[in-house]
Amino acid sequence: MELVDLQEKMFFFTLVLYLAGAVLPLTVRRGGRLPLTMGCCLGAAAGLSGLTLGVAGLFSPEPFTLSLGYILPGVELSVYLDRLAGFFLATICLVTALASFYSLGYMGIYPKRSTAWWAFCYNLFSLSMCLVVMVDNMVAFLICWELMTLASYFLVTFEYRHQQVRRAGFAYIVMTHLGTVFIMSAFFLASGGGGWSFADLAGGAGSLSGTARSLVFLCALIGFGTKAGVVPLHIWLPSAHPAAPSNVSAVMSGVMLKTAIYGLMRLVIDILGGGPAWWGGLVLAAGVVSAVLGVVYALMEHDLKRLLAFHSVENIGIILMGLGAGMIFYAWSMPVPGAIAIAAGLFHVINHAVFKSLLFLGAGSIYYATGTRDIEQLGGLIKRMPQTAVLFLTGAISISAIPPFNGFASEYQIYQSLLALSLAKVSVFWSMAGVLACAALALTGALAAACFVKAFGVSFLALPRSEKAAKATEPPLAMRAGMIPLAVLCLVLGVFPQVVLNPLAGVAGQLMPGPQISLPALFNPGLALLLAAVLASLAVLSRLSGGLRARRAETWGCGMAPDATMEYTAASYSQPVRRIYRSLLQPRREVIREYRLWPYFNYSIYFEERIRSVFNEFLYVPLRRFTVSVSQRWRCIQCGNINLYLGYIFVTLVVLLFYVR
Amino acid sequence: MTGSVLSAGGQMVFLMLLAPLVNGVIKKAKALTQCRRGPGVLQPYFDILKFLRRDPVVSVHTSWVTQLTPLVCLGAYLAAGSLIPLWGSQGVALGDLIALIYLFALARFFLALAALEPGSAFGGMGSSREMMITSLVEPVLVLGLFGLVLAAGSTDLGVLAGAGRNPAGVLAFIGLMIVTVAETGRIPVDNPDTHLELTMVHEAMLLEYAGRQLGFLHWAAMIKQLVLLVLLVHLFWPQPTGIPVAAALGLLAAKVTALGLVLAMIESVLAKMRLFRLPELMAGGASFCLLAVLANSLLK
Repeated sequence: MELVDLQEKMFFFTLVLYLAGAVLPLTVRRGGRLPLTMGCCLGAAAGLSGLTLGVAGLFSPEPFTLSLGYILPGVELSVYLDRLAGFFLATICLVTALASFYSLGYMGIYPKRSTAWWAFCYNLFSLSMCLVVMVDNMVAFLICWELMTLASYFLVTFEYRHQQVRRAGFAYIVMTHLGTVFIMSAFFLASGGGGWSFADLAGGAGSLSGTARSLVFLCALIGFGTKAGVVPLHIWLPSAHPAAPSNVSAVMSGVMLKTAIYGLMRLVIDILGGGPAWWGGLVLAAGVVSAVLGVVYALMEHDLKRLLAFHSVENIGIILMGLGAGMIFYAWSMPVPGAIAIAAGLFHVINHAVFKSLLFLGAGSIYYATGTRDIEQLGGLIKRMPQTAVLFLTGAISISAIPPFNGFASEYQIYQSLLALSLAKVSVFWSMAGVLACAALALTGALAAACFVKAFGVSFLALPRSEKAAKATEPPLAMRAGMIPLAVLCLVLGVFPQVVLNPLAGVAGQLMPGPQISLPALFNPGLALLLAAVLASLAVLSRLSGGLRARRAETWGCGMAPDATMEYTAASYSQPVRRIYRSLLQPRREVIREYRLWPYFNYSIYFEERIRSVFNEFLYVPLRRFTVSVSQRWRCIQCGNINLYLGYIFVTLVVLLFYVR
Repeated sequence: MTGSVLSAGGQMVFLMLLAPLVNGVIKKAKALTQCRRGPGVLQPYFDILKFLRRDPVVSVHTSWVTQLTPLVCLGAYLAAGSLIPLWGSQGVALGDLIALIYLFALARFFLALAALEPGSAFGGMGSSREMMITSLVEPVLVLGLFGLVLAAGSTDLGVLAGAGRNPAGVLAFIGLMIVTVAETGRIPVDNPDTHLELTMVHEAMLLEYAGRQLGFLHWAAMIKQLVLLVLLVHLFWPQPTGIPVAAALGLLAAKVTALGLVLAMIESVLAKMRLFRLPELMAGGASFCLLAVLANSLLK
C-alpha cells in the first residue's frame, strides 16, 4: 500500500513538473534566458522523477494502476505501469532528463525569443512519450501517440525558416501518419468492437481467427515499423534528424523510436500473446535487412547527423533481431530461451538509447563549436575539444560493439539468442537462419566500426580541414555535464550487464509466463578486469622501458610539407565499401579536371559522387505518382459549388438512414 | 580464482615469448621456398629488442590516441589469447568465442584510428582498406566458427576443443584458413614484407610509428597471428589432456609451427590479389563455411 501511494504521488509530481515546464516558459515575457532555464530545469526534474517512477515500476512485482476518470463516454483514462512500461518509462526519462540538462547550454545558439516555444514543445513531447507507455487504453494510446507526433513535428521544424527543414518536417509527418493509419487499423481489428482498454483487447484476442490475428500483426509491424524506422519505411529518419536541433534528435533517436518497439511488443506479444513462428521470422528478417542496409547507408554519409540517423535504422534492426528470435521461441513454446532473447532485445533498447543520445549530443557539441555538421570540414578537434572527444569516442566504441562497453554486452546476448535458435534443432531451415543472422550481425558490427572510425577519425583526429574547425573551442559545461552520465553508463552497462538484464528477464517473464528464469553467469566483469589488468601491466612495462619519452616531428609527406588537403577524407575513406556495394548504392560520379599542357599536371579537380536512394526511386516515387494521379481523377467531385456539397450531405444522410434502419 | 589468474598470466607470457619464433620460422620457410637463405629464425626477437630500446618519433599532429594504441593492440590480443584454454580447464571463464572475436575488433578499431591521426594519406589508405577487408572477413569468420558451435553446442572455448573433428570440419577448416590468411595480413590479401603503397594495408597503418611503439605493434601483430593459429589448433587438432605442462607446450609449439608452415606455403605459391578481387575470395571462403554449417545442421 505504501509503495502504491508513493507511486501515485510520483506520477502526479512528474505530470505537474512536465506541464509546468511546458507552460511556464510561455508566460514569461522578455525574460532573456529565463524561459530556457525554467523549461530545462523543470524538464530535467520531471525526467528524474519519472525515472524513479519507472525504476519502481520495473522492480515492483505488482503493476501500478491509477484511474484518472473518463475522457470520452466509455473511454477511461487510466495509468497502468507494469514492468514493461516501467522499463520504457525509465529509459525515456533518463534520456530526456540528461538532454534537458544539455539543452541549457546548447539552446544558446538559437535566438532567445524562440526558446520558450522550444521548451513548450520539448516538455510536452517528453510528457507524451511517458504517457504513451503508461496508458492502458487504445484510444488514449492513440491520442498520446498523436500528441507525441505533433510535438516532435514542431521540434523538427524548429528552424522552419529553412526550406530544407520544412521539407523534412513534411516527410516526417506524412510518413508517421501513414504509420498511424496502420496502427489504428491494427487496434480496431484487434478490438473487434469490444472494449477499448488493453485488458479488453487481450480478452477478446483469443476469439479472433488466425487470419485476423495475422492481419493485426502485419498492420502493427508496418505501423510501428514506420515510426521505428524499419527498412524500407525508414526514409523520414535521415531527413528529420539533421533538421531537428541536436538535443531533439538525441531524444527522438534515442527514445522516441523505442516507443514504437514498446507498441509492437505490447500489441503483438502482450495483447495477442504471440503467434506462429513466421511472425517472429518476419520480425527477424526485417531486423536483418534494416541492420545491414542501415549501416551500409550510414557509411556513405558525411553529414554527421544523417550518419547517426542511419545508425538508428541499423540499431532498431538489431533490437528487432532479438525480439524476432524471442517470438520464434514463444511460438515453439520454449519460454526460457524466448525470455532471454526478449531480454537481449530490450537490453539493446536501453543501450542504444544511451549511446545514441550520447553521440547525437556529441554531434550537437561539434555543431555548437564549429557551426557545421559536415565531417569533411572538421578535423583535429581532439586538440581543441579534448573532453568532448573522449565522450564522443566512448559512444563510438559502444555503438561499434567493442568490449567492454555496452553495445558489445547486448549484441553478445543477441548472438547467443540467435545461436540458441540454431541449436534448438527444430529444422534445418531455422538452424541455417540463426547462423546466417549471426553472420549478418557480424557484418553489421564490422561496418559500424568502419563507420565510426571514419566519423571519429575524420572529425576529431589529424589536421583541421577548415577555418571553423581550427577555431573550435570546448562547449559550455552544461553540455558536457549532460553527456558525462551517458558515457559512464556506456561503461557501467557494459561491465555489469546483470544489473539490467536480470530485471529484463523479469519483464520477459511477465509477458510470457514460464518458469523462473535465471540468466547464466556473465563474464563481462571478468573480461573488463582482465583487459584493465593487461593494459595496466603493459603501461607499467612501457613506462619502465622509456615511457612517453619521444621526439616530435612533422608527418612524412613524401618530401612536401603536409597539410590538410593530403589527409584522407570521409569520401575517400568509404570508397572501398562504396565500390563493393555498388550494385546496391549505384554511385554516380562526376569528375571535371583542368590541366595545363599534359593530363598528369592537374591544377584543379572537381569531384562529385552521389548515391541513389533505391527505395526512393523504386518505391516512393511510383507510389507518390500513383497517389497524385488517383487524386487528380477524384478532384472532379470537388467543384466548389455549394449546392453540390449540400447534395452530397443529403445523399449521405439518406444512405445512413437506410443503413441504420 | 588465483589459479586462473596465474594460468591466464602464464599463458600470456607464453604467447609473448613464442610469437616471434613462429614468425621467424614462417619467414625462414618462405625464404627457403624462394631459394633465398633468409634471416635466422630468431631474427624477430632481435628486431623487437632493437625497437624497444629506441625512443619513438611521433608526428606533431597526434594525441593520446597514438600513444595508447600500441598498448591497446598488444593488450587486446593477449587478452584474446588468454581466453583459449591451453592447459586444461581455466576455472573462471573470462570470455568465450564471441568475446575473442570482439577483442580483435577492439585492437583493430584503435589501430585504424591511430592510422588516421598523423594526417598522412598512406595511413588513411591503410585504415580504410583494413576496415573494408574486415567487413568482408568478419561474416565469414563468424559463419565458420559458429558452424563449429553448432557441432559443439556452446560458445565456451573449453567445450569447443576439437569441435572441428568431424567431416564438416574439413569444410570449416578451409574457410577459416582463408580467413586466417586475411586476418594475418598475408598474400594474397595483404603483403607483410612491403611498404609499397599500392599493396599495403597493415604496414600502411604503422607507417608513422617508430621506435618502441613500432616494436609493440609488430609484436602485437605476431601475437595476433599466433592466437589465430592456436585457435585453429584448439578447434581442429586439440591437445591431449593429462600430459605435463612442458610437454603440452612443446606439442602446441610444434603444431602451431606446422600450421605456420602451411601459411608460408600458401604465401609462396600465390600472387597478391587485386584489392577489389577480395570479395570473390571471401565469397569462396563463405561458401565453404556455409556448407559446413549446413552439414552440421543436417548431421545432428
